[in-house]
Amino acid sequence: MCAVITNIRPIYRADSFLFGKSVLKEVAAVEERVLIEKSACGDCAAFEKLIAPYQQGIINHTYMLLRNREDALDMAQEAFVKAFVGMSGFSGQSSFKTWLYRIATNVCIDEIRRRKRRAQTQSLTVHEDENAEQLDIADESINPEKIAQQNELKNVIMEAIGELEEDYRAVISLRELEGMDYAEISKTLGISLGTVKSRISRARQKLREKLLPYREHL
Amino acid sequence: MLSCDETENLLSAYYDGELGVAAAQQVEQHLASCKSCKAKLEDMNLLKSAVKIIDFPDADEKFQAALHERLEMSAASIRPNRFGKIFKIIRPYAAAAACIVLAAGIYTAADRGYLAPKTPVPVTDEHTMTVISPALPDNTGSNVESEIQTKADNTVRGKMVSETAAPKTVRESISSNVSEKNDDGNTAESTKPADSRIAEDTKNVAEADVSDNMAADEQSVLSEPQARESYVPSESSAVNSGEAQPDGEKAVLASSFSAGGGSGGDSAKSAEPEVSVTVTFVLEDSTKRDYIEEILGRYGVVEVGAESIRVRVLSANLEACVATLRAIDGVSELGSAKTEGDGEHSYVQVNF
Repeated sequence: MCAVITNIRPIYRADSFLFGKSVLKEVAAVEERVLIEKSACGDCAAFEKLIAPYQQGIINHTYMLLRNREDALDMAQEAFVKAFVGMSGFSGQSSFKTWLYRIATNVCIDEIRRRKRRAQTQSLTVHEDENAEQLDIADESINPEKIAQQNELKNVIMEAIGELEEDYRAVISLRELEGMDYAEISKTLGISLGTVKSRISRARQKLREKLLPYREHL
Repeated sequence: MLSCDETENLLSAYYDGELGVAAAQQVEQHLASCKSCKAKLEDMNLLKSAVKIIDFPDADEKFQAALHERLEMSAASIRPNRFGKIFKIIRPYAAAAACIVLAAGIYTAADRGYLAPKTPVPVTDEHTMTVISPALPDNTGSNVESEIQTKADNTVRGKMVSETAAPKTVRESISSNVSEKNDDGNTAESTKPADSRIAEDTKNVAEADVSDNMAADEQSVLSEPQARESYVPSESSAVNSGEAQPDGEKAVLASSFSAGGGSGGDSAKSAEPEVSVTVTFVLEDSTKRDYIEEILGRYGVVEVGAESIRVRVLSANLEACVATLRAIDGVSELGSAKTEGDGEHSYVQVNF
């Protein structure tokens, strides 16, 4: 830390802004390492602080995979608990974010496959109920017709995503929601770069076919 | 220039900026002249817009509380791992320490003779004090020596005897190697040379009826391996025709006779020369006096004198006793001597 502080240049230098950013990044990395070590020792508060920046992203990711609100929250919790219990096994070879998303993806894919084996179908009925709730809380000032159109669009989008294989859903979610690059997706899912490219390409082609009729609404 | 199919395969990676410079230039070249592929590229924005519409669940207070509760429950199973980590660190050192303790235990046991192999019970010809070594496969009376060897030679000769006489008081033979006579009054036949006596005995053994000459517990006569192990005077077989043993003490009999016959019956009936052996040691380390007394006490009744300790042992156990003393530091063997005796017993004397 002392060495970093002495290297900070005066603010009037042209590259000081960029250098300041890297210092902040390093501080954040050090802080994350400390939180990881504390979490590995069973410190709940440290772990909750550690996952705070990733919490909503994980929930979004699980929702994209499972397409159900309750399931998404349950699986997100499951992923966080698994990560907490397995903290001592985190070797630091990958980033904590990559490791966390890998756990969340595996938890969801396992759950999807388990349901397939039990021959449970993802209920459109549930999804419609969800939309009904959203309608209930919708702002009355907004045109109901517009709301209905929006809800229909959401349904179409979720249905289109649901028609993808879970492996394709995972890559699309990490790319479109989290903005991960292909290398990061490759590390997170444990697949090759070529597989990432082909899966994203095919997933987008399928979604494009489904969403093309609603182009003007998007 | 790329085809539409080839471009479509690369379009997604181009859209995400994941293509290399050369590949990107090729795609751009194709897009400049292909409206269809260009439209497909623009359609990539559809999904980006669609995802923004989705209402994702929030990590609300209820979610946070439930998560906190589950983490607290899981924390109990995590925290003991600290000790697990410590144990992982010290485990190799603990294993090394256990090996050292085990090695020290084995060394101490070996040093005190607890691991010493048992010496085989000597098999002797009944007529003489010639020893027929247990190692000889066909022990039919080949010439063997009858004297106890020095430290260089561990074969000890004894005599295959049956105990028919009651033991006399040990004190009667403290300072001499006077042996005791049998109750039946058999006298030793000492006139014949050893070789001829052995030959005669071999013949007698071959002709003898085992069932007539052997006593009930005759297993030690027939079985060489058993004999090797049964030199402790806790059990024995009576070779004779089963005369009562006044004091219940029985001699351990070991025989390597391939004929398998017992010769004890014959030996008990014929007149034989009775010889006892006295092996003398000197104790150089006086601090081991009590220890020596304890050792000798295992083999027989010990007599402690002012200048020596003497024990009367069964001749069959003589070799084991002598071997034990030889293994003790501070004890030196002076030699052995033959004297007239009952042949059943020998003596070990340790001078101070």
